[in-house]
Amino acid sequence: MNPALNSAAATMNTGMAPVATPWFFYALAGAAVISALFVITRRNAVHSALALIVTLLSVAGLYLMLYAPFVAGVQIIVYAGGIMVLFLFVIMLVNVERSSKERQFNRIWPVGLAAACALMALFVSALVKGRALFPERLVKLSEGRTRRTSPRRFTETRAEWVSIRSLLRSPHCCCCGDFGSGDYDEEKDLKPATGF
Amino acid sequence: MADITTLHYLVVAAALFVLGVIGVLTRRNVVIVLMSIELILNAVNLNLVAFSRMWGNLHGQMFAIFIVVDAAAEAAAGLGILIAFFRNRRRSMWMRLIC
Repeated sequence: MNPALNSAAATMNTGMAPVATPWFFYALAGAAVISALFVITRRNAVHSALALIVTLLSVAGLYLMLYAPFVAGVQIIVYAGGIMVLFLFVIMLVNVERSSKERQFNRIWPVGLAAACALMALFVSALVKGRALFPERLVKLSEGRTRRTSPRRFTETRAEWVSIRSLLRSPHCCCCGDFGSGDYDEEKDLKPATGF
Repeated sequence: MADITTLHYLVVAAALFVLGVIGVLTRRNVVIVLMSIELILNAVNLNLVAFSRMWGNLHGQMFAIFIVVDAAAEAAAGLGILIAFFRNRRRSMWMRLIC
């Protein structure tokens, strides 16, 4: 058998190879969270914008690990290429020097921080209590509905086509004309094709 | 090392969401408040794509692309309002008028 067909069959049977190791996920997640922390703590708005670009690129990497390359591409093009340029334009239009010298946090920041901590506690509680709802492993894409049912549907379609052909080759139909060579073998023709 | 599950992505998204909420509730610079809103929308997008992967369909990715378009429109409108505000008030701090 052709080596290329062998590798393709192996890919069909074992599913897609993982995009990267778990360490790659932890690196991207850490970069996203730390740069998001920089976004909300930097005094200079340009620094915050640069940290936000790092966050967006890290999240795009996480999308790639989730087998969502189109969303990752949209994230890079629209966010990092469009929205961030808009942000930088506006930062340059407003007086960034004067803004960086003023007080950065509002007077009610303890209340806001407490509310955010309460929200974080709610999230942690929901994730801990609902942990059993999530599967232990992410489903492989090759085990999805399309790949699982397509060989069967192909065989059914092929069987319908074979029965139509056998009906056309029947003696009743041969009165009207010759529709084939007559060497039809049902066992041989119903066998699935190579690769399925 | 254990496999990466949906729960891992949800934890990262929750952290990004809370950081965005902290930025919205505590910062005075309206540009950084808008960036924090972008952080929140990114956290929601990450949740949607993770659930899309968990269920093995593309519904979550479709909603994520809708949210990206919404975030672009929101940034354009918000920054336009900011420019108009700055032209009148000559400052980018918004909370001074409130508290």
